Amino acid sequence: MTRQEFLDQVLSSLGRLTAEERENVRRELEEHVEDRMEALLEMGWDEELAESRCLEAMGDPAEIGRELARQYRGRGWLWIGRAAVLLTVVLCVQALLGIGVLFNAWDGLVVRTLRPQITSMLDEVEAEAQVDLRMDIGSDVLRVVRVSVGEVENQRVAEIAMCAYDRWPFGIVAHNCENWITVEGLGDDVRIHGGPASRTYGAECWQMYALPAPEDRSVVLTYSRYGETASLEVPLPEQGGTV
Amino acid sequence: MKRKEKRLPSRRRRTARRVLVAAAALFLVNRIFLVGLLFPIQAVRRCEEREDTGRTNLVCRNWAPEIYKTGLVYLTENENVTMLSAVRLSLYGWIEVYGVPLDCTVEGPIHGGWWTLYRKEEPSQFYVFGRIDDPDIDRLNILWTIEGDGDSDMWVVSDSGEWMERDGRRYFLCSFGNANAAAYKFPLVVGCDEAGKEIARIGLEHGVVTVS
Repeated sequence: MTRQEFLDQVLSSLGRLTAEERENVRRELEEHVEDRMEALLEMGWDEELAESRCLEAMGDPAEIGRELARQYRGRGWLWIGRAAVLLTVVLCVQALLGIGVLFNAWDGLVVRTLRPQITSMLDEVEAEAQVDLRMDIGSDVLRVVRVSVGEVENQRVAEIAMCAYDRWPFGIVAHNCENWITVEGLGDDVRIHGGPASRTYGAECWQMYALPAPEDRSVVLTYSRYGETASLEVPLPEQGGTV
Repeated sequence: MKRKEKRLPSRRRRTARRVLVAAAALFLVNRIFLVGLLFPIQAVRRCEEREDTGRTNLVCRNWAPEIYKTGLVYLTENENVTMLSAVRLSLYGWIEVYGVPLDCTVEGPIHGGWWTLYRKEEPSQFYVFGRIDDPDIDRLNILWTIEGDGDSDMWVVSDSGEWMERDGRRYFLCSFGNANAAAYKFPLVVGCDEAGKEIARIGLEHGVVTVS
């Protein structure tokens, strides 16, 4: 019996195998025969004789086939594996299509760890301080990054620059967070819209304004939504820029 | 030279490896790329995150082919919020179309809201939903005005038999289709008792028109 005949007999006893599995078995058996032959050839055996001796020593090919076939039972596993591969491919395509969404994750990361740039809308800045105050609001976190006192439209106001991001690093922030935050002393006449406020799935940044009295040393931000409330006291900077 | 012994991969082992890779890909794509949601309820969870409502429980789920062929409308609730969400299956997996949360923390006999989708300038569905907190209310009259050539008033009746109950709270969801929903104005809900006597009347101020 030649090596090819031996392999064919083993493979014919394996039953229903995929082409890949069949190839794996063939390679495994060939490597096995090669190993054994190598040892015999090193001992000075003739190649043809060594091969025939190896194949004899391996035993009945039909029996080997049946033993190996046990390893490949259960077509259910095969289908689950195929479904997993299909899912992985689909997910990779979706990730490629949605690569732009990574900017949201980046926004969230910047707002969480760095100091986001929020342009001041004040006409004249009297005092300014960089702060890092955080408060949990719902499933998000509110972060105050800068407090300024100055003038806008000839009115003395406190400007509070803040951001919101999800507690989970790559999560989604609730949209229009600013609608649920109020500042003590906020008057409709000084509500300033637009400017550098940014909104993505990852983070939202905006400014809010308060009308502090000269003796005020802090303002209070209050979050209230769906029965949940939270407050954060934000110290106002003094002349020269300290809190 | 001795060749390194290799273990022949079994179907189970190979499948386990593939499933692990798929699970890792699913986690990454779901959490970082925010796509690849396998189930519609995951898109509803996304609406919850976007609206910051906290976890809500399912009250009812309706197929809404008028919005999208794969569209589903969910009415979900918790103690403080009633939310109507629309989700659909897309190239990116299940995605949220919109979520309209209704704040139910303020005491009142009825909490109601509306939502409509105006898609490709085509008529779409008009949804009115909410929570009924007054146990005496047995019937709702939902009224609205249709703006157009000569405004006309319309109304529908929703009986308690059509309402849904969850954790002792009663919910209603009505949808009206085949009309220019963008022209529906001033929706109003009137709650009546068993005898038909008016108990409560609220204007549905909280509503959203989604243009797609």
